[in-house]
Amino acid sequence: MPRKTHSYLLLLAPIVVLLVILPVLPHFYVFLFCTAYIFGMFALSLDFLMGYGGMPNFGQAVFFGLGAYVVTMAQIWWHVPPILSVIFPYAFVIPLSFALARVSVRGGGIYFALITIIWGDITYRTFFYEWTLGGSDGLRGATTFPLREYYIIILIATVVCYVLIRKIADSQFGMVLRAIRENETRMRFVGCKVENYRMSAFVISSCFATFAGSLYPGLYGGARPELLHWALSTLAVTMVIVGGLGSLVGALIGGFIITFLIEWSTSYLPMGGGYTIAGLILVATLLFMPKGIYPTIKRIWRS
Amino acid sequence: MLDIVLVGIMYGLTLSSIALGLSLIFGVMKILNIAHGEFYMMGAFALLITMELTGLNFWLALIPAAIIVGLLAIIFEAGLHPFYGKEPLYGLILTLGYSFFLRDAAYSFSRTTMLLPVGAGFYSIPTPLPGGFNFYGMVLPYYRFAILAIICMLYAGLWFLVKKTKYGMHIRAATQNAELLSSDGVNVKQVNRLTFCIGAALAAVAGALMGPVTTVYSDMGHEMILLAFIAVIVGGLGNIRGCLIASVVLSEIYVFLSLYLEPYWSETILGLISMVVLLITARRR
Repeated sequence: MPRKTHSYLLLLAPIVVLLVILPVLPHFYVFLFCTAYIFGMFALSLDFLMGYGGMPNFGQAVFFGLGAYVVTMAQIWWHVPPILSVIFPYAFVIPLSFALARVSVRGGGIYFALITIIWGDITYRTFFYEWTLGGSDGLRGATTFPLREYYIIILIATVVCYVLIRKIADSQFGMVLRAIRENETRMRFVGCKVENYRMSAFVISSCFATFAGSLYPGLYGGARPELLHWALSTLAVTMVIVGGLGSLVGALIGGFIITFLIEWSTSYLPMGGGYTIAGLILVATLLFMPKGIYPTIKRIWRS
Repeated sequence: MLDIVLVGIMYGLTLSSIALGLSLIFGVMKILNIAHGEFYMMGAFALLITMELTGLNFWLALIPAAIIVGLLAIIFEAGLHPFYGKEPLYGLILTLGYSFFLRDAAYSFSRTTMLLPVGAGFYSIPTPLPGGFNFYGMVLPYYRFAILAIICMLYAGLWFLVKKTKYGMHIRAATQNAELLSSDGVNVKQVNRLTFCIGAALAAVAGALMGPVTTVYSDMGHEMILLAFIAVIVGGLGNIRGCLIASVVLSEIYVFLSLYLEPYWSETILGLISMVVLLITARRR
């Protein structure tokens, strides 16, 4: 498989570049890059669900936020060492995502989008108003790592995430998933259990979102209820669409663009306005470049 | 007790005018308009600005508010043109972009504007009809009855439009089969535009009417649209009567739950109700 090795070599080039620039990056930018990696991973998990499974999840931030929350809880309430605490979220997320997948997948189509918005908002409200869970302040006090070492850890985690999702998407499972997205009725006739495949894809994607979220406290030292908010889920949808729906590199690129935009606007624009620009970019992408940035660039490069 | 029932009906009708717009737009255009809550919010802001700039009283300012938002909606509808008849996901995401843009722009606007008196983003409209009936010791504010009356009038007008006019016939036909309608020589684009405009104007009037009851701020539409989504799931997308009944019933549940529980629990319970309803009715859709 010569083409495969070729694509992995292409993957190596940006990693080398990102490692080489590390010593010369100013502190602020290292932080920004770390955030961008985390949100890039988050966008990857959603791209797997949306691009391959055809399920637009508008509540993906719930799993991201739960990852961050449970890691923080494990560290400050149960006194788990920081490295081990990364394992804990899955004990909560996997049963929850099974239950939510069961409800949401039954709806199908536009009802899937609606019901994900609703349970996303329910979870956010619970964390925002329940003071035992930290309330509107969130939880603080998780161990933060030295920034430049953490940069390397997150970079490796991103690459591992990418390779794993790529493997799953290219496997037989991923092909069945794509077939279901293209023609659900036909797959039902063939005898494929569509609901089971969709639910598995949902749970896998939520696990990756949790993984991205569980790296968040190591950078910011805690979790905020905003991490569960609908705005973050929809921001992830924006990243996926801007980068390119169904192309994993595109999701990473979209994650980078949108994260940089939001951080830049909160630092330099007087009244925020990051979401205004994000909305404009989303609308412009859909109208003029509906395939997304990365597939469009690739097509121009090829021709 | 009666005053709480009345509050429930009032919220229910305002909620239903959003859910109804959502449902109408979905029925005709097969697009779920996520930015619908932003039209609700823009209605309240348009009313405030009209009152401030022209000095009109509240009732007269409702009309320009609805017209302004309806005209803006036509501009936004133009962006949806490439997505008719495609997968509904793309139209939904485009309106999501609108929602981002409108909500954040309104946030920046409401904090920096010179058009409105200083309010730091939160504005209140004084009640245009103070006082109320004294009903066996309970005070039932006149304004709530005014809201009921206006929304009932709007619905009567909408009913007349949809059932008795040629445009209404086109709208009803477009929900059945838009392609067949266009092959009959009807300009479906115009029908879509009109539907979107009506839906947005309905939401805008609801937002303007709720202005004196709640605070006017940039996130007010977002708070409302989630309840509207719940109502739409329970009532069924594209089913106008179902949406109307579901909105009123859910609002009554919401208001009564808020009496006994912490306020955020009532929305959680409504969300759980919608999930159960979806699980039960999923097979029949």
